[in-house]
Amino acid sequence: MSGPARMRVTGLGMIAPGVDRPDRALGPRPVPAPGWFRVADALPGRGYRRLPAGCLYLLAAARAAAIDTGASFTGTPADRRAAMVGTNNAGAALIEEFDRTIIDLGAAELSPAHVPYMAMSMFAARLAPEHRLRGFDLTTNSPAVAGLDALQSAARALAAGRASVVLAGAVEEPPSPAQRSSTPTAFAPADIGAAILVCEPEDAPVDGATVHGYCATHSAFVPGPDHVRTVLAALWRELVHDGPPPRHIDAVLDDSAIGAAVAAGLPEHARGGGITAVPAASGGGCLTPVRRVVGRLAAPDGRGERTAVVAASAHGHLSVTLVTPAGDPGRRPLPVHTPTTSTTTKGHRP
Amino acid sequence: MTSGSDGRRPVLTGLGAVSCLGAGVGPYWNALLAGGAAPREVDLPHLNMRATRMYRVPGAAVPEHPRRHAGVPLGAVPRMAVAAALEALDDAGIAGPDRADVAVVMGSEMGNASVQEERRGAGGAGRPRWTPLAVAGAAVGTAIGSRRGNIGVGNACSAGGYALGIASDLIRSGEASVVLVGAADGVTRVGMGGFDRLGAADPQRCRPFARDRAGTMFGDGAAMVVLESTTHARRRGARAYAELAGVAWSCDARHPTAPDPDAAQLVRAMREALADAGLRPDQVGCVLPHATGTALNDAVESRALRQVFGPGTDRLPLFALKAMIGHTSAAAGIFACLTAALVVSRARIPANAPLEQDPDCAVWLPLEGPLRLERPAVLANTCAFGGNNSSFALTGPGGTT
Repeated sequence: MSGPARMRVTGLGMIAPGVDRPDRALGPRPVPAPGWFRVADALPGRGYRRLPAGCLYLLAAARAAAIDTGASFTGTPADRRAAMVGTNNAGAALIEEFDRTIIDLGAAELSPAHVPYMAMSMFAARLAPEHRLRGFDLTTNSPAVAGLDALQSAARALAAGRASVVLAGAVEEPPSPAQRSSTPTAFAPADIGAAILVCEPEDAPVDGATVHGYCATHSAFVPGPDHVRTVLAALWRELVHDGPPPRHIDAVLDDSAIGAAVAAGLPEHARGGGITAVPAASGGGCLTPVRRVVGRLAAPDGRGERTAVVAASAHGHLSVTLVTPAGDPGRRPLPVHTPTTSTTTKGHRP
Repeated sequence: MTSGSDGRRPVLTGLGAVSCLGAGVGPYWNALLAGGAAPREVDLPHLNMRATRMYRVPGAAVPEHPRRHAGVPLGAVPRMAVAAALEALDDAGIAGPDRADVAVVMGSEMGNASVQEERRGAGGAGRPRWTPLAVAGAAVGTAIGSRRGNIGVGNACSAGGYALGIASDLIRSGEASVVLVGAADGVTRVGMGGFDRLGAADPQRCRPFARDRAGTMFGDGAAMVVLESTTHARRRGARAYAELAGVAWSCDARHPTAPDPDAAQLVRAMREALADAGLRPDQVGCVLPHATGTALNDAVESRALRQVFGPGTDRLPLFALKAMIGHTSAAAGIFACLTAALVVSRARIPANAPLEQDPDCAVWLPLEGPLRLERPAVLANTCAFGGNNSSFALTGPGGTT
């Protein structure tokens, strides 16, 4: 069985309450103050004001990430640009609003401009016309891990030659007041905003962009808490099979039985390194783990520690992203890549 | 055929389905040959909209279990997904501890939303508790005892096609040997009302390529297929229905809901899927188009097919599946894949539903049948909101074309 694909990260963008730069992504996670996100500042220009908040966060994070990467993103042909974004709750409030409107007033009263967002994949879909992404525009949605799954699927798609550059990350939006009051433990302020990484194949020529570091994501499923220890051990072994283990672990876990079992199983993989526990809400928002990845990659001068960001859902999903900052002295040499597809059209293009 | 190293070419070895045609792939195929299903009124309260019919799964075909997962009440969608998954694995002959090594890729857009809509619509029962919509994958993973990756895909009506691409890449890269890939979507007031508001819902039935088509009509259901590497299938002596020989994705990057009239990206997806499979257009014996019954989509797809297949389009049989089972949303691509696998393995193409064809849709829809599949490669398309397209090609196992 082959290990997970790795990718190079050349751009970072992060928008969240109290966070407007990637290097602040590891900072405090305040309760959002009204007006914390100013559209006119983040997205100057026309055509944005009527978009759902999640769309705006995502567009702002992607714009910042693309600027961070520079010409190697904008110079990539549209057919070779793509997006892979995770979300769990971005459309939660809108879906409730739509249903209330249908029940109380009828479907004829729905806003035709907003109604496409009944599909949560439409949040990421808004990136495509904005950045002329014609490779693909894909949404992942597994609870809690969809953001890390987006990084994993982006790396795999890059390795398969489906694109040359992918905007990968996560977006979440606040729930409605009714949803928050009916499910008080399901949402956390940290799961509001968007995080985007500009990702390229690990072995593609570097085209002038700053390299923040490298990511590889592996995932597994735990059919119950009793299985966590063996599943986690196998996953860890496959993730670091050809390189040094991480020096630090960021554990984004809720208080479910699965979350507790993962927390209990991590120390044996820390090998003396530190573990940072990052409490997660039970509702399965997927932004916080990606936020940790961004923060680890944004360390000054690429001198951050090699870190494993772990996320698990109460439902059984388990994903780990191994983050290797560009300046990490222990970064292993590039692996020999064995192509597994011999297509005429999907090879990397300049 | 040159799609990847031989041992990692993905083949389909198990199929499972719950649809308006009943539970199980056998009844599904027989009912397609018999002309498919008829839509009926949806019995949800507060359906305050113009189009209120769907191609519904019969009540007896919706399993009662599992009722909950990790504290989340499970509606019909994840329950149907579990039933289809178990059928597919049984069909593939993968049982017991071998299921632990099966990865899951699950497409679903509205997913478990029906649970909250039921409570909201009941009134007076308090506010429904919000839970994530995409829990079908976890329900399937738990039901089969999987310990491999479990990826949820939510690309609206093209989710199934994208799930197939992810599953194919998992196998081609060597990350997985067996992937259970599927999709499920169901009855939701918001989904029906949204399409109704956009003028994209036909109140009578789903009529792809018909002169009087008036939009699409949804169907509920779940479809799952077992995809495994050729080496893995051979090692355990598994029978393969077909090879998933090529998968390609593209995005119009243009409009939230309308397709690009030039269809440039849909054409590219079809051509790249064929190239990925090592196929020429004249080696394709049948196409399962996306064909939703919406006026613009069917006309655009017809033109796209003519760009790819040229004059040969006049002799290329199309099978418009949604006229028989409705538009199964996220599951549409997997139902297309499952149907294509049956067409390839049985070398028969069911006849299309009767229609008076729109002259602006210059494609061949055989109304008599079943036809023999003369060239054993089948191409299928999925398209979605956001301009997301996917195309995939199936051939006989071992790349026989």
